Amino acid sequence: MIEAKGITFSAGSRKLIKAVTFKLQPGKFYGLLGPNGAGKSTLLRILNGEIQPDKGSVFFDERKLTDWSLTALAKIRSALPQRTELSFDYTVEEVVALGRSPFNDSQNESTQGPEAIQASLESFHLEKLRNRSYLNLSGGEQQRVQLARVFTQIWRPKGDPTSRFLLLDEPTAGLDLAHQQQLLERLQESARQGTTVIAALHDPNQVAAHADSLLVLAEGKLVADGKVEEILNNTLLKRYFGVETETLRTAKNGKAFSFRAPSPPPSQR
Amino acid sequence: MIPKAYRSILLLALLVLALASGFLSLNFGSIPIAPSEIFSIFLGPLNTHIGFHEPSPEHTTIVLQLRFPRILLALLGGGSLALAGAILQGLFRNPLADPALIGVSSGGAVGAGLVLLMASSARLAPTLWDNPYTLMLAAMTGSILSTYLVYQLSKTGGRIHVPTMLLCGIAVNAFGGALVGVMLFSADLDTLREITFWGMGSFSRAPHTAVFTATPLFLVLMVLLLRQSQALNVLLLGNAEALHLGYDPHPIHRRLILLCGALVGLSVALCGSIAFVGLVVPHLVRLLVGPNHRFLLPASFLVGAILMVMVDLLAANLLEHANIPIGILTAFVGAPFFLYLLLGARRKEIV
Repeated sequence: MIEAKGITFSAGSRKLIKAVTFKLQPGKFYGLLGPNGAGKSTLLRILNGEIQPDKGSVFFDERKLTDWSLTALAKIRSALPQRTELSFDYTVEEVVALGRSPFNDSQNESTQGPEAIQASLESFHLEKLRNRSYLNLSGGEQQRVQLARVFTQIWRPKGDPTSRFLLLDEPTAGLDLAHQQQLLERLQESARQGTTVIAALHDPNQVAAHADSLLVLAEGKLVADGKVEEILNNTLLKRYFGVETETLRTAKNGKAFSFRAPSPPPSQR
Repeated sequence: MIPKAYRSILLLALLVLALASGFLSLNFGSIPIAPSEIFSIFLGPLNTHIGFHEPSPEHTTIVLQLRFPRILLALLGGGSLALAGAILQGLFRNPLADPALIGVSSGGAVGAGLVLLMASSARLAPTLWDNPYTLMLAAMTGSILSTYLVYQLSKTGGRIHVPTMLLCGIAVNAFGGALVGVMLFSADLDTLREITFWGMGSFSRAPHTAVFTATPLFLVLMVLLLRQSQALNVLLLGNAEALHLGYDPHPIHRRLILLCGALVGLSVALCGSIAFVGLVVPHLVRLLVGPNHRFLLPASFLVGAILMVMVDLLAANLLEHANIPIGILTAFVGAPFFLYLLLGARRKEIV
């Protein structure tokens, strides 16, 4: 379980996150929506421990984030930043293998490490690219390598009950349609196995089809928090994103949104 | 890039090559000494049991007090500069970083220059100043201080801002250059010559006792730095990514800067400034073994060591009665080679 209690963060005189409080339950996939500049990345960076909030605290499994040892946390929590800049000529496999760095001191790493790497390479269709140079890949392929690295980090053998956390900032960026779809299914599957997943996304249809719950940020405030079924609707999309939508029903009785002609963006903030 | 499986074999081959080139270059010089005699010199009293010819006393002195310390210093000093270069390139995530670039070397040069100047002019405690250990200590202190200064200046909110750090390095270099200029300006002719020659780099100016004393220090710093290879691998991904993987970048940066500063300072004190080794060697080695620091660091050290033994051999034997300063040779060869690498990389990008 991840808990944020009254988190406030400002950069200079600008308040980026304003008194945000929420709980993320284990085994659930949370979509994080919000217009550009709403504070999604900042919030994820606070949850990751990259930046310290001015006020409030973050708890992982009821233990304050600052009380966790970095290595212990790295074994159960992995994170994908919005962009990773790598200017050195690692092979795909080497980048993915770096995901196992927190386990260097673990006893059964010599067997589990390669297994984790292999599983992640397979699940992001990277087996054929494994010996290729990371720098020669396309943007979408690089994103898949980073995702594989992130999944490798918290990989466990099937049935391992350790609670795990996955925090992803725009993981679908740069991926083609098929890989976006597969990634979202992969996130759902991780959640089903007990991992707490939170991912910043932009497409309400992807949230509607795959996520269990939804957090909506607008101007640094948490403006909606609840089950996707209950809170994701035309009014919310109109109010915070300024888009006119029509709700359609899918065959499996889910929701989908069809966009109408563009309307002017919400008042510039 | 060579396949992963062969990397360990390559390391072993480089080690053998380094030792072999060191041993071979013991044979060369104005007086050639046969390999068997060199063996017997190193065996010392054990020699009588093995039965090589008894070495002549002059040859023993030449080998033990002149050639061996010179070659040992070429191995350790050259290797250290290449190692420090490889580490700084990883630390800054910039393949063009070099100890000279961020002021590490110039800080050492200021410290050492100051001691050389004091040695010539100080009335107080002349033996303190005219002393290789004081020189060593001063150069190390200068290197560590200048690196620390650059580090502090470029740190914002607990993080290193790399572009600022490179610019600070330029400023510190310019300031260090000015300080050395002041020293040169106020020095007498002998000291002027001493500082100038020292600045051009040489493996034969340091007294052999100082080389032997510094050897364990070189080795300790080297081992401590080699142990940071996994942290460096993770750092290449970026500070945030390193943190997510359980490696706090801030203390790692601090540790690496301190250790690199000490190592470069030590080498500057004993060999003077030798340019381009720290830049070119890791670059070449990376083409060969890839960016994984577990191989890159030891391989850079070994290649730097082999290269410097070769260059030293040239420098000592090219002219009949003079040693050519090492720094001149490395710059002559290194600068065009570096341009070649740079232009090659750019052409590749265009294609």
